[in-house]
Amino acid sequence: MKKYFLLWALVCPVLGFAAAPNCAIEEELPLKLMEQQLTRSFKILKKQNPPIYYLSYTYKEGEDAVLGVAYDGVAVKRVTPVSSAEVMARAGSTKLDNTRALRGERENWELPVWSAPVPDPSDPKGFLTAWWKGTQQAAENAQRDFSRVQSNVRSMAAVRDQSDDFVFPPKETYCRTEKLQEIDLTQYEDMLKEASRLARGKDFVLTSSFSVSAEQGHRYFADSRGTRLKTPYSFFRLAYQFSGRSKDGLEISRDGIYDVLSPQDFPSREKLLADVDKSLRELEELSNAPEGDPYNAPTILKGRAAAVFVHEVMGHRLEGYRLKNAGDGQTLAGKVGQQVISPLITITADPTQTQFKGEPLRGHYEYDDEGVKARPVTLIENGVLKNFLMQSSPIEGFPVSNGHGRKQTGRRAEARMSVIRATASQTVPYEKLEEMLVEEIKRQGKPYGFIVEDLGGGFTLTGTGLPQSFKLEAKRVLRVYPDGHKEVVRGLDVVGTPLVSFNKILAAGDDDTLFNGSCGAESGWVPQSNIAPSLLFENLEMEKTQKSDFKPPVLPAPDAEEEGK
Amino acid sequence: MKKYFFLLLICLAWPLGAAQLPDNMYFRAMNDEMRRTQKQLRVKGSPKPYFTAYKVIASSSQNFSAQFGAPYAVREEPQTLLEAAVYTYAGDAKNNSSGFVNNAYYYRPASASSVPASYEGLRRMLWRLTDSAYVAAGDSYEKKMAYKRQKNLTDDLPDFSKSPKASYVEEIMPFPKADAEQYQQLVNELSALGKRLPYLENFGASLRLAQQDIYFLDSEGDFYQYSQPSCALILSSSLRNKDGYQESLTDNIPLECGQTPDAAELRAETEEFLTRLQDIYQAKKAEPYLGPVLLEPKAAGGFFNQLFIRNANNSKPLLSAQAETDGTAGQFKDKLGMRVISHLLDVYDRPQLREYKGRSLPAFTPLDDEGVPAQELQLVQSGKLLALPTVRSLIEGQKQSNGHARMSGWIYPRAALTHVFFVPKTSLTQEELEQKLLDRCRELGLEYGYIFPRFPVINGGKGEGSFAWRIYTADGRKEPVYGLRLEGITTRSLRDVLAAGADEEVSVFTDSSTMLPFAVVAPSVLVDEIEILPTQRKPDRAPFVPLP
Repeated sequence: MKKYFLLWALVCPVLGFAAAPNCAIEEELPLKLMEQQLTRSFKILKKQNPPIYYLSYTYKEGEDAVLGVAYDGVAVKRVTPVSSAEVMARAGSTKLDNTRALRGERENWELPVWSAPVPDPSDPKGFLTAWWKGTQQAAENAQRDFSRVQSNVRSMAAVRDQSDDFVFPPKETYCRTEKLQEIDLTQYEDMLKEASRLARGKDFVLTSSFSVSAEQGHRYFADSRGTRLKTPYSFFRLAYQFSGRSKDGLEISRDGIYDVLSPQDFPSREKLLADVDKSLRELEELSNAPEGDPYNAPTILKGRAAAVFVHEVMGHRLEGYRLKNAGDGQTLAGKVGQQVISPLITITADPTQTQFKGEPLRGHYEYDDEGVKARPVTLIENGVLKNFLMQSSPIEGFPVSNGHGRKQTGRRAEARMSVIRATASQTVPYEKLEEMLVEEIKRQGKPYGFIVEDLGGGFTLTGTGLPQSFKLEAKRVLRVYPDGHKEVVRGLDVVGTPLVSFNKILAAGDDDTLFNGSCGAESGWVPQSNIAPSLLFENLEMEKTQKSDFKPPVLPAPDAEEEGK
Repeated sequence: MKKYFFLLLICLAWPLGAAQLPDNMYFRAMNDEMRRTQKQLRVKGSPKPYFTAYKVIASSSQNFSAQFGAPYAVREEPQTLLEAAVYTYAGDAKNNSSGFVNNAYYYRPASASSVPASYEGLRRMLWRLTDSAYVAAGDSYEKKMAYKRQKNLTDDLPDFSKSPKASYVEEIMPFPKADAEQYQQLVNELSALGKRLPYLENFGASLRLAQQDIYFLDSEGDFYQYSQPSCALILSSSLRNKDGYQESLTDNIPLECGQTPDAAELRAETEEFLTRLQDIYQAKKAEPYLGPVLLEPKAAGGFFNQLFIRNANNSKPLLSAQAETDGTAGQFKDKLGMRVISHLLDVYDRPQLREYKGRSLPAFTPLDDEGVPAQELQLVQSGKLLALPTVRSLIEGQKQSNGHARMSGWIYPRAALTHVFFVPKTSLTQEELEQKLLDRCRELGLEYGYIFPRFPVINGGKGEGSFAWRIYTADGRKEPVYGLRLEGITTRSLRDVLAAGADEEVSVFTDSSTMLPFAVVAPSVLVDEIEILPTQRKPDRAPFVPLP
């Protein structure tokens, strides 16, 4: 027993609980109706010319709730039922089908999928008619696009990767249901209003917002190969954001996000107020901070910033489908088995993980959006490229999906990140990492280096038409001087190219940090989790961030004026 | 909902401060920020704000929907959304920033939705919006003056005419919460009636209950506060007719807000809608036709909306450095005193009506959005154009605004009509109108004429109608027709009205570019000549799989 307990204590904080099936798939009404319509349709559609050789139905049933508060008032309070259907049809054959990216003309990303809200299945007529209509439209679109693809393939130069367009996902049956958690939005109103009042009288705050949101329900999936799935989903989030604008037009912001497994786990009033207070102090500090200058210097990306960096700069380049897109830069094509980044770093993707240090992982799922079972994948091991994130569209050397076909409702699934984790073979306490930074600054004879505490949005270019570069908004940057003192600066972005910057990692901290978010790419917005330790880079380049054209408002905020600030 | 308390009616030429601002969060926030704006908002070197106005709308709604008997996108709790719009004219009464398109695409006030419902939240939002509006106004002013110099525009008409201080306040009643179970059950039941027609690809019923509470304050001290309820049953359906053409039909049936809907009445409306769907399914395709058309009241509403109202609105063209002419200005701006419509018709705009024949009207306007009392206008007498809606920025021959400046989050105040009544000098019964149609067809040697229940959307003189009745001269028999392509529809057609009925109905519209609602009250009219051609749309293939 003692042995088990130890194992539990070590593993649980990282891996969370494994879920088990707990319902009978054949008794699920939505699936029964979906199966009835799918079977009836596929029998006819597979005989058409060109044939619809694969058909899948996805149904989401649940509830979205959101409460938005600012300045002591409710801005939005809404509970919206979710009942949406999606039909994916593939015309042609696995070798060549309607989903192949068109070259030289507008892409056909969204065309093969039909999606719409549908009535409740309690009365089958409306539910079945909606699927019938969706199937007809999806099949018509798939046939039309297949003709475009055939013509495109004949007229365009051959692509390097001649892999098939599709591999049938293995047949799966799984049923798990979870009771939707009660969320009474009203009970959070007072807490959020109290927190919103902390911004009162602060002339450096231009806007503020606080929110509680809940998305929960079940996803049903059925396809023409016999897969039948029901899986639950739930995301609960409390978040806040403050923004300001400096006199020279720079937009600054601070935020806080709490993702939890259950509404009971939202932060306490005391914790929220303390965090909000800290964010406000940071915003004030930023609003008074000097503007940073473009510079290339030793840099630490701390915790959350490192997690964002790994996601943006390397993660997107590990999405397998990009390797057969002729318009993509294919940074990692042909490099399997080669050292591509610092040997210190290993990068994995594991959507089966549910929690990290007690925090839920938004990137967790049991089956991907193509009905393929989620599984862990080692992508880069000690700097050596091992694998790619795969959907059911093979690429050279990787013939099957590893359960990473993901998408937003209404889009076509593509290989996307899930729970991405960067680990280091050797780590040091964070304090030691800062000491190493100062040493490196001195060694290089630089006047200062940087600690990036927070990276916000940004972009990473993967197409061939533009440089293979990234530009990430550094939302909180400290300039670190050789004597160890630090100074907050504003207005900088981290820029560079992926292979160079990832090879400049000198050391990593032991402070693995989770950043939960949503990522938008070709297949839409999908929830994701990114975990990384703080990383010390020999150097990273900073450049000036884009400013708005506007000054701060002419008059001070009314509440700031009243408080005489 | 009918329980309105008129605390203060329009108070013309009242001494300053005579009318009291209502004591509520909205006016406290608007008034406090307005005072600060008037006193302090300046940018050195820029013109001062000459006139500022705030409009705040609290929209509450509750929807119940079902398709083929099953709930669809159910939302039981009432939703409330607070929106705010602010505009500022910089400069002075003679020359200010109004009426100039500074941006290539937009002529919009500063606006925001999802405003926090608190004094502080609203006040802060007004502060930010006022700042944006003022910065934009200062920029517009400079560019407008430069443009006028460049084009040598030296008219003496003031950009902002005076108007006595005015206000209107009625008590705002809380939005009544509907019995969710009862309403959902009703729409389930109504939508289930669609199961009877096996070829329907969709059949839905929605009950929409809504109320807008509107608050306005300007820097001259004008203000208003009132509620605008709107409740309706919306029926919608789509089908593939027997020739394979996709057709869809939507009907908006107004309901009395605050009263439990009469289920039997709504069932009857739904049955009638289903009958129309049956007609659409069985209809024959249109053939080329040139001759008289009888427009039923709803069709007449659409006809007058597109040909008359669009051309009467926006009587003063906007200036813009990007374009020599304002494409949004109505064609009637140069036609005062001319015949613009059949001599059989008089036309009125009645902004202060709240309802007509038991049907609530959507654009009640006690004061307009420049703080001017909205006046009833006789626009047309015996076909001649007598007046146009105007705003504070004057047009030739006009001394003051007639209170028709209407704004939304999408448009600065511009001249726009509200509730437009087309009143015939003499009216015929439905039978007499049909007989007149047949007589005219016989006179022209036509085998049949047309009766339109709805009028299509016209763009560049063309429109695509999905359904009409063909009526034969030989025996008066009617048969349904689909796929009607209308050609050559211009303001000329307004003068072709030969006769009108006594069956006036209210048709409600929303301008798609400004999102402002308005209504047309019109009877059936007989138009002497409309050209109809068969649709150029192609039929859809038969479905791969039969309907379930």
